[in-house]
Amino acid sequence: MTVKHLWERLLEAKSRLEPVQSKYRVLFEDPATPDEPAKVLVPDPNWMACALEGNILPPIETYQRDRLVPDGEPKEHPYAEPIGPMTEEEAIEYLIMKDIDPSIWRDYKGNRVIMKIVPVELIPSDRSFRNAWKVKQEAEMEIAA
Amino acid sequence: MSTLNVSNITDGTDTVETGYVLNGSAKAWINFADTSTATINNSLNMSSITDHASGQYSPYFTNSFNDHHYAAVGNAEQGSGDRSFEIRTTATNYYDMWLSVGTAISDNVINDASSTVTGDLA
Repeated sequence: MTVKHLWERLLEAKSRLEPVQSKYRVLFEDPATPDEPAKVLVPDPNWMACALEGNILPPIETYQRDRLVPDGEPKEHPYAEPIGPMTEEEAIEYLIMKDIDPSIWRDYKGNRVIMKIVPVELIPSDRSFRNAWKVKQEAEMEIAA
Repeated sequence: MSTLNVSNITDGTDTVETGYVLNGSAKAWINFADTSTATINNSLNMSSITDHASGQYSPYFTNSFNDHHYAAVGNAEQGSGDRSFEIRTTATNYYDMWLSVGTAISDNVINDASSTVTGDLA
């Protein structure tokens, strides 16, 4: 059976699924640029709805292989057989492997904690000092940065 | 879902090839706010947005583009005025958008930001 192109599946899903705002954020630092503030990855609610629904998104391995495909060459992920439904936690892990460089979540071997998956409530709500945010090293439960 | 398979579209006077309509349609767009914590309000073909620092964001595509030669634009309501985003980097799976400010900003709040992308999908 021919698999529909991923963009067509996304269009169809957007007309049918209610967006799901994630209760998680991923707070991370890039060890290659230690002077930069911590970054916050925000999941897209329409994407999260697709992840929870299943049979829309391609396997994460297709994105990882496509990272190495040169510009203009055919990519695997738009045509790959979609995977089944995920839990929200599995979806966040998928998103980390898709949208964060492997040097942060896979290859880093230092002692500093450079990535945390946190509830959105632990992200500071006051942006006055946004450019000074760093990942809290302690197992702090009140604020993450 | 059914499919309408036509090569041309007309309003009775002007005719255009369907390819022009498909190629000119936005393949990805995003609307978000960053008043306290960043929140995506609505989108198409986006999996996430990364908040790097004050006024610096990277939207990530679910379906990548064929190459990095696509057209991305963005603007935002920030502070007391409207700003545009500078598109700093384009890659097949994401792009970097930095808030362009003519004078120093007094806060780091984005009330309403949007960006749209046209180009060739992978």
